[in-house]
Formats: sequence, structure tokens, C-alpha cells
Amino acid sequence: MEDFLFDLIDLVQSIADGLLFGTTYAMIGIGFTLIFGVMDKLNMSYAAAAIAGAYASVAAFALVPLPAPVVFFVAAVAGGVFGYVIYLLCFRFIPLASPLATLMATVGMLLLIDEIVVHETDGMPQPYPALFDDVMIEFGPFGLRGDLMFVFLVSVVAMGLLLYLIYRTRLGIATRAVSQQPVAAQLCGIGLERTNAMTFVITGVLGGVAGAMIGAAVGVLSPLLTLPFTVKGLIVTVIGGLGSIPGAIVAGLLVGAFENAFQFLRGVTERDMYVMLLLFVFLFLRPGGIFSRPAGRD
Amino acid sequence: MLEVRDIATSYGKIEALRGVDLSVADGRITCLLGPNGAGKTTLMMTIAGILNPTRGSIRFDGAELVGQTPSRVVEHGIALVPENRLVFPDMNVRENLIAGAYRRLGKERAAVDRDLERMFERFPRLRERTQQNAGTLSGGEQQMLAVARALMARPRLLLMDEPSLGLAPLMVEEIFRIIRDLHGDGTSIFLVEQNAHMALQVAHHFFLLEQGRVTFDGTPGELAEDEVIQRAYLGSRPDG
Repeated sequence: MEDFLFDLIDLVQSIADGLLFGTTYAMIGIGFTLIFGVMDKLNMSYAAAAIAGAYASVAAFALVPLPAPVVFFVAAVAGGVFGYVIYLLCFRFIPLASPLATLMATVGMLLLIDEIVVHETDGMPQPYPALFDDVMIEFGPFGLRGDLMFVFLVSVVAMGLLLYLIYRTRLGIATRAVSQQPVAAQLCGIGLERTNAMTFVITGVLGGVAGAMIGAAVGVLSPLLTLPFTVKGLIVTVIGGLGSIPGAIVAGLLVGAFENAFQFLRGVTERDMYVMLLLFVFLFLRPGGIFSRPAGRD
Repeated sequence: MLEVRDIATSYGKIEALRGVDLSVADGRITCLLGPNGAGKTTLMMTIAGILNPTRGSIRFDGAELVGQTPSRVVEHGIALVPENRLVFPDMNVRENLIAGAYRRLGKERAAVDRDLERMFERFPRLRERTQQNAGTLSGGEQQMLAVARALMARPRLLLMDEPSLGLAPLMVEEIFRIIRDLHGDGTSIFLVEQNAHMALQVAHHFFLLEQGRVTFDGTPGELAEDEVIQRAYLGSRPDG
């Protein structure tokens, strides 16, 4: 009985940690979903660019020793720059009419970013600064890790700013108009190319923040992070519903909690199998995402 | 006001417009009638800058519009109410209207708010639905929203592509009442219609477009209404 109780406490603790870390998945998912919304295209290099933003901030840190908050800020700026470069290389000058051309361009970009990172770091993981990693907030048998709390708070603020931008500003009107009805958006005088470019910059900044927070939570940056974050970002996008920002946020937290629960119950090597199964459950029952109506099967 | 000269527009190898000439006079209601597939919507989209013509010229108060982006065309003072309305379904009525004033949002915010109030006075049903998503409105309400959204750009020339399409008869009456009102307030209107009977009642001048070419240019009194209707729905008979 007592063993069971301890297990239960540990399970709840795992789920809580997973929810905090899940905000990084939510940010990556938002990036995929926003670009899909405005351009109807997947940007496969998004998670790679996010982590590259964090790498760029490590490089800046190696040149000049900066305090951790400045390092995170540099990652956000670098993320925005990478977002614009990816727009130019993979979308602006690639024929948009062909669905495969831009998809393959972004897959190529993902691999290119990874190769550059491996080359520049000799494949060695790089330590990443964290804040409040010596803090532990305790509630009875539970404790919340200070560094994860920090990651959670920064992510929530970043997502809050993004929601404000999308739902309360002129740029947000343009972004939503283009994603809902591109012809009518142009008739209103909204420029498609400018709106697309701005969407890449904004999602890039969000990705840079996500990359920095991933680094701060894990403690190191490694090229091995790219693939799992790409896959989980895409899973979050599908579970949340393509194009849905609120969906991506909820799905990010869900995937974070779910994978940590299964890591506790079944171990780290089995964990991702259950995340994939969760994806199939959603594709079968709610192919339109978490906030859509159930699949109509007859 | 608007001078269209020898405009040809193609979709790939299919030439939808084959040298269109027409003009729209300031302060008038001008109608474009013609059967399905004649190229009416293609012409509207070409004037608005969404489609690029392969040859020809479109002048608006002397300024050349061919080669301009759709936003530049809006800035020149032309707004299009597109076929099938194309409202932004997941934005509310207010946001749809604000999007219509997109080019003016930065510097003329106060004027935009006044225009918003004016739209709600002109279209009281939109005021009742301010916070409702446009996708949940009825067809007639969406059409009013599409008209109001175009007016938010403060156009001098309003292009309307089949505004009565798919609407109930009462709502069609309402749309034509709105067209007369707008004209009364000094807006020039270039109207594409399938409903030739209604269109001929409001038009000062009309054109027939058949197979990508203008085949009639004159006033409603010059051609018997049943011949207009015959040609607007079915096109000319080969012998006729």
C-alpha cells in the first residue's frame, strides 16, 4: 500500500514536470501550425532552426561572457534572423505551386542546419546556461524544479505575446486574413509576400525562445535534439489541429505530460512508442485536432 | 474614370479574355452581363490586380493599373466585392471590417473607427453580429459584410461581382437597394450580374460579354430586355 502511494506521488510529480517542459513542445507546435496556416506549407526545418538559434546564442556567449537572460535574448533574435533566411531560401524563390518543392527544400534545410552544427561543434554537446536550477519549490511530497518553472514562465509569456500579436494588432489581422482567405486578403490591400515573410520572422523569434528554453531545461545543446523536437512538434501540430494556435498549446502540454508519465511507468526507451501511439489514436478519432468534432465514420 | 483597353487574360493555354474594351464613367452604375464562362469574374480579378493580363491596358483616372499589386489598386481607390463574398470565416464581423481598411489602419485609425460606425448605421444587421464569426452568418449577411468590408477602403469605384448570387428574393431586393443607396452617396459602381432583369433596372450603361469579348455597349433602352436576357444567359445564337 505504501509502495503504491509513493508510486502515485512519483507519477504525479512526473506529469507535473512534463507539463512544465511541454510548453517547449507547444512553442515548436505553434511555429509549425502558424506557417502552415498562412502558406499551407510545412516548414520541416523549424525545430532545427529553433535549436540553431540557441546554438547561436552559445556562440555569442563564448565570445563575450553574457548573463543568462541576455543569452536567451540573443537566441530569440538569432531565431528571427534564421526564420527570414529560411523564408528566402525555401519559399520566396521556390515555386510555391509545387507542394513537394518547398517541402523538400525545408527537409534539405533541416539537414543542412544539423550538418553545420555538427561541423562547428565537432558533434560535442554544448553546456547551456540555466536559471534557478538550484531552486526547488516544495508542496508537501511534491517539488517543482526552479529551472523548469522558469522555462514554463518564459514560454507562457512568449506565447502570450504571440497571441496578443495575432489577435490584437494590425499584423495579426494580416496574418489571420491571409491564412483564412488569401484572395480576399489581397483585395483588402494586404500584401501576401510581406505577410508571409513577417510570419517567418515572428515564428522564428518564438522558435529561438523555444530553443533557448530547451537548452535551459535539458542543460545541454546537442544535434541529437533536432529530430525528436521536429517529430514532437509535428505531432503537437496534428493533435492540436493544423492551423490552430490554442490547439497547439493544449497539445504541447498534453504530449509533455503524457511522455513523462510513460517515461515513469515504462522507462525512457519505451516512452516515445506511446507518444506515437497517441498520434495514431488522434488521427483515428480526431483527425482534425483536439478542438474539432469527432471523426464522422459510418 | 476606368478605361479597359484590349485586355487579354489567360489561364495557362485557355484564353478567358480575348481583347476586352470597355469604360466605366464617373458617378454611374455600369453593368456587365453575360453567360457563365464569358470571363466576367476574370475581368474583375484582372482589374483588381489578382490576375495579370497578357496584353492590354487598364487606366484609372489616368494611372495605369496593369502590373500593379492588388494593394496598389486598392490605394488608387478601387475595391472589389468578390464573387461568393469570400469573408474571413474565423474572424468576427468587426475584424472583417477592420481588415477592409487595412491600408488605412496605421495613420487614419480615428477615421477608420468613424467609418466602422457608419457601416453599422448603414447595415444594422451587422451591428447585431459584431462579435460573431463571419462564417456563422447567413448568405445575405455575408454579402452585406463583403460590401461593407470593401467600402471600408473608401473606394471611389466599387466593383461588385454577382452580389445577388444564391440569395433569397427579398435579400436580392435588399442588395439592389444598397447599390442604389451607394450610388446616391456618390460611389461609382461597376456591377457584374447574372440577374439581368434587376441589373437593367439600376444600370445607366451596360456591356454584354460573350466568350471573352464585349459584344454590346449601350444603355438599357437600346436593346429589348428579352434579347439581353437571352444573350446574358445563353449567349448569341450563331445565326443571330
